[in-house]
Amino acid sequence: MNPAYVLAELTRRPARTMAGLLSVAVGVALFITLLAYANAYRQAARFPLTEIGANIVAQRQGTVPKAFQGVVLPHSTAPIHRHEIETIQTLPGVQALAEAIFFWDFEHDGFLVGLGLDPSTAVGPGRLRAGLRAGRFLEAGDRGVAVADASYAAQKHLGVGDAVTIAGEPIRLVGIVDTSRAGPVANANLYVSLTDARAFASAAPNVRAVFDVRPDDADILFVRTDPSHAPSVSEQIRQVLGSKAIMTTPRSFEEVLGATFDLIDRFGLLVGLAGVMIAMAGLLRAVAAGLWERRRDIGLMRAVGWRRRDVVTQLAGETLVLTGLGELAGLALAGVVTWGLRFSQVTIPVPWELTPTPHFLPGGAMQAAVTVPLQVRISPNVAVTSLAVGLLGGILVSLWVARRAANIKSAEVWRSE
Amino acid sequence: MSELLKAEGVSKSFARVVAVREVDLHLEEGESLAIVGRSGSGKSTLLNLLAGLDSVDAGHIFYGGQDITGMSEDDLALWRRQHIGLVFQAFHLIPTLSALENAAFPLYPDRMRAVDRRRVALERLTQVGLAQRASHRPAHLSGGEQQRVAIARALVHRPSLILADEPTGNLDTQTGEEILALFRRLRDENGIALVVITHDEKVAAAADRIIRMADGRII
Repeated sequence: MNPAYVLAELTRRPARTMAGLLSVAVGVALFITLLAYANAYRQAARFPLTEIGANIVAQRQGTVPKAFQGVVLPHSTAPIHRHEIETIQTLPGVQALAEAIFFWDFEHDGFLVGLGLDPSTAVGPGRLRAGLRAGRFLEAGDRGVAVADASYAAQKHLGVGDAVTIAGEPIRLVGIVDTSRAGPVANANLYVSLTDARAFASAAPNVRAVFDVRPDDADILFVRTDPSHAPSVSEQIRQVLGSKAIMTTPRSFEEVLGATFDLIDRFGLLVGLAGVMIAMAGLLRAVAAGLWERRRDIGLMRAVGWRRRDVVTQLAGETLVLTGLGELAGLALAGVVTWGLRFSQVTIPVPWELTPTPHFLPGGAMQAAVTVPLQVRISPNVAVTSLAVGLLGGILVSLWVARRAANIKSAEVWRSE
Repeated sequence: MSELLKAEGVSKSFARVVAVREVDLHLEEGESLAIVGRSGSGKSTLLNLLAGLDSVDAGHIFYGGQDITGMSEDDLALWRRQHIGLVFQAFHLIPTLSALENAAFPLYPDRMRAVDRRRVALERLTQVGLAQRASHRPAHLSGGEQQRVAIARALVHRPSLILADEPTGNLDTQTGEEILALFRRLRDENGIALVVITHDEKVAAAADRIIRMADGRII
């Protein structure tokens, strides 16, 4: 192959070159962008859990309290005892575990959602400290203090230093946090120390009436695993917690989205592949049309002594260079499109069992959702795959066209003119 | 002088039309031969057969004593690259390449350094008086200049034989005479044998020998 001749053909026949290049570029860009979009959607579904540093939330389905007075455990939670927690901690694949007590408090003057957490852990609600807006977050050893969710504080006109009441006991607000990024997962109105929450729960008559509650129980566990082990760990935790276990994993969010995910996945792959096919057809058309224009040149190659393989090498080389340039252009185009898509957002529904608000309260039955930015990124694997598929198509097109072109006979070309 | 090219009983038909009928001819080294005839007389077909661009239906063609009629297309291409220079009425230059690149075109498949290829091509362009137009593409060259580039291309690998099909057919009288003078000079300087197909008696008169064709036969 003569590079100078390749360059001359590509640069001095700009219309043909642009037609071939654009065909490949659009196909490759479509393939990469659609797969990146589908992947971003999947990532978005994991976002609420990722935001709290866990990939499994474990609960045990509870029961309806005798009365909605004072502290009760939400229907979706029941006490998880110490020995169960310790068993889960030692399961293979579990990297970290955080315990929490999720509770509702029905007071005569209102209702609130509370979460007792261990502020020293890097998994679970302890990570909400990143959303601190005023005051300070909870610290190890805190008792009788709370941090308020920013929207709840605004609604109740609460500020740092104000007092609130939980289970009839005065609690002082030490900070305000914005938990909106985590959505309804691990979301509460007030965050207290795990010790306080355990004390509220184990002393609450309406908890004790329906549960065997102990002072070191939890009712919600945040578990971090290697993502690839999450399904198997989730299954093992389910076995520990029994038939009433409620496991929330990234897959749970995908299941809530259900058909949407399937559609995006299948549509993205099918349209992406169709894009590559169309790209190859466009390339074939552009190259074949170009070769028809160049029949005289190809006849000349043979006449002045180019062997068949010389012609094939030259013409296939031209097509491959065109394919390569088209792929690079497609990659760049995909980069621009995916960058633009980052400004879009997607609403991810949240499984009901993670919804903090009781369904019987106004607005509680509405589908909870979290809106997250779509983190569309070109995966190196997708980029390499699309480039490889494109290159393979380019090789097939170039060899097919070049081999046909090499059969052109000089004398026949000139006789036909 | 020894015999360079010989055709024995060469025939060629297209469908039911006989284009060349049992032609015998021979050419000595360094000799120039004009093949004259009207359009459709079979002279261009004969040139294609002599160049191995078409296959014979019957007969044999020998080059330097070797029968080329049984060679594969790739072997014929290699043979042309080593021994034959072709010049056409329509020049057949590659429009995207400069005069220098066109002159070097037959050398592209060779394992030759680009700088050497350019040097050889420039020498040939100099030989045909076109070195100063080396960077121009065919669209920016006159007909005479384009034919000079085509001649430089035919000479680039130092052939023993040039086969020219109506080399002055697309040129005005004065330019045609210049091209003929160039052919004479090249033959005198390099000892290259020449077969010229023409219907122009003035062109034919410049050759050492003339043969005439009609209805596919030598008359």
